[in-house]
Amino acid sequence: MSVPLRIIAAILALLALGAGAYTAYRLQSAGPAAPDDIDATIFNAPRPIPGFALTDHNGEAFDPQRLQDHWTLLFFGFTHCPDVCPTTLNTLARSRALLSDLPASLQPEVVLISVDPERDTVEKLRDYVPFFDPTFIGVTGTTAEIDALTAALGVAHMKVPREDGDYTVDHSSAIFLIDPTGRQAALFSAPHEAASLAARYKATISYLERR
Amino acid sequence: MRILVWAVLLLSACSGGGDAVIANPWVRAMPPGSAMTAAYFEFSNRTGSDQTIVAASSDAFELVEIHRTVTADGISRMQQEDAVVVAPGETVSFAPQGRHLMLMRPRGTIQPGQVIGFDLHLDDGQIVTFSAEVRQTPK
Ligand SMILES: [Cu+2]
Repeated sequence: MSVPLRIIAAILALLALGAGAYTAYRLQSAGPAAPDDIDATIFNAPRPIPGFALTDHNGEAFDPQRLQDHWTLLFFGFTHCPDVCPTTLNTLARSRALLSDLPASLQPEVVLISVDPERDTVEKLRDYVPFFDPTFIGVTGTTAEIDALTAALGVAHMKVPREDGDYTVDHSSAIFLIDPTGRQAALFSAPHEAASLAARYKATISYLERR
Repeated sequence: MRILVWAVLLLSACSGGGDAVIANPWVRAMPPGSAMTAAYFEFSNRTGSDQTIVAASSDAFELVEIHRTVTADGISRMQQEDAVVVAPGETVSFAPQGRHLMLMRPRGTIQPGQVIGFDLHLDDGQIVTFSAEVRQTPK
């Protein structure tokens, strides 16, 4: 390599280094990427949830206002569900107990939204949801309102007829994390286990609070 | 030799029939008025050949089915199973978010602490009986 060529190569190398450093700087100023060691799907930009008008198990309106000023863990299920839904509600109850050392402002409100509004009346949810934890909130509504909300969140659910004329509902088993401004911030995929769910929740909100 | 015979007798007394051992049985306590719940346990085959569970029944429920919860692509669904084959020396778990006895149409109220009897029907006509306590979570 001749001397001028060496100089050009050195300049090119410096330029490449500079470009790399600049890109790294840009990436950093855009906010830290979600750490890979958190077992959660964290959205780069929290997703707003379109308006909804549902009813909680006390007969009170459940609208976007109810998701404001606190973190929420949202789970979709139904009361005619003998395995996954009660297992998840028990897991959420134990997770919430494990999170009791957090400041009150960081403790999640836990909400079950029914994907079987035909059978899950307000009264049915009132008997069912607080059984697992008296602070849990059960929510139901018209089929149209439930369908609109589940579609917006990407929650799959389908009625599956049984041979005896009864039916069951296949549904998403993810738990959604809603931030204190009512936007969808992250989701936790099944299987759920109390200690790990509490740890995943803590890691995710501490990351999001810093972001 | 006498000791061995006694041990075998005790095992069959526990499981009620066949050389199968049922461990850690429990029935999920459900909120009052629930139309269904589930039973969980571990089934160990202590014989030298396959044991195949083809049906289950209980005096406390009109309808008992063998189900399995399968989660794929983030969606949980229940599938009915016609037969559960347990190989010699193997243990099959019926556990939350997996295989379970689906208990439908209770004949009365199901309360925590209550002990419920079950029959597992094997394909060779044998019946394995066990009882399970109603609890909110396993022991
Ligand atoms: Cu089932």
